[in-house]
Amino acid sequence: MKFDSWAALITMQGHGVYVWSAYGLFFLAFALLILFSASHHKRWLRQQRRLLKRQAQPASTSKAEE
Amino acid sequence: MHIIARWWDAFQRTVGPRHFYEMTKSWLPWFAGIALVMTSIGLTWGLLFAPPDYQQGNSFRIIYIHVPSASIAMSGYLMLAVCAVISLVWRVKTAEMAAQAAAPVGALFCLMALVTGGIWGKPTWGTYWVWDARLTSMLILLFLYIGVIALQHAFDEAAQAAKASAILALVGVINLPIIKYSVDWWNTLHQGATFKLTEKPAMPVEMWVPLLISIIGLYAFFSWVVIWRTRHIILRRERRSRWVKELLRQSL
Repeated sequence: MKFDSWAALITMQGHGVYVWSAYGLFFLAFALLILFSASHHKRWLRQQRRLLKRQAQPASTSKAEE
Repeated sequence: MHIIARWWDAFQRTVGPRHFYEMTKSWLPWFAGIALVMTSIGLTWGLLFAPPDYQQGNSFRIIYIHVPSASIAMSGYLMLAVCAVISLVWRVKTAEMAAQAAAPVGALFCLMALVTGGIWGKPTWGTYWVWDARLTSMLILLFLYIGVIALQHAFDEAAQAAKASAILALVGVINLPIIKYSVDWWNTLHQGATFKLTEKPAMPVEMWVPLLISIIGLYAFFSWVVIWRTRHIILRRERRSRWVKELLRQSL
């Protein structure tokens, strides 16, 4: 490691604020992107499954239409 | 003509949403694995083990996320344009869906290139922002992305939305060479390209190797997210087709 101690790694001779905030924002942004994409899709899946169940219930008759 | 028609049919099937959905299922773990391993190695190396820059000190370590972000933002836009041509000329629906999946991801990389660049600028140039050619053209890229995303959602009819956003994506391509060569054409605070095809990097090896690894890792990450999101969009857009209904029924 290029830094003598954990403290040195954190402060980076005064540049720590810039470096760590840049990396922090970067990871936060993509974590949120994945989270939003996943939850959006899950919500849609749940809604579709509910729809399919409702369509399936009134009948074994509707199966023939397909 | 008969042969062409048959070939065309086969082509349409291969690039069709269903085939794409089935084909990419096995790709996802590979892209995710490469992204995870390469990004971890590249960024840890860059943050902890690369030597500090002789002029910029430790602030230069932002390069390991800044350069990949900017590169992916530009490639992502190029991808929108390629998808635009494919969907306008050959009416391939999968290309529309891939563009819809990629646009917000590319926009986020563009925003991150601007944000990390601004943060890097403060200790290096003494300011977060200057209205010079490189920064301004990159900001325009972000606006183009936002425009494409807005058009993708501005119409009730999917085909119309795809067409309008494809046309904007194509027109905006002019901005890409402007970004690329802005540091050569105009006087700017921004430093030149780190990697050039014709020359060895001016950086020492122990600085540019981790950068190359980070770039590969983050490109793999971009590909993974885009394929993953494209698959979601395929299901949503094709929800009325029999195969999607069957797929959903099986997972009930």
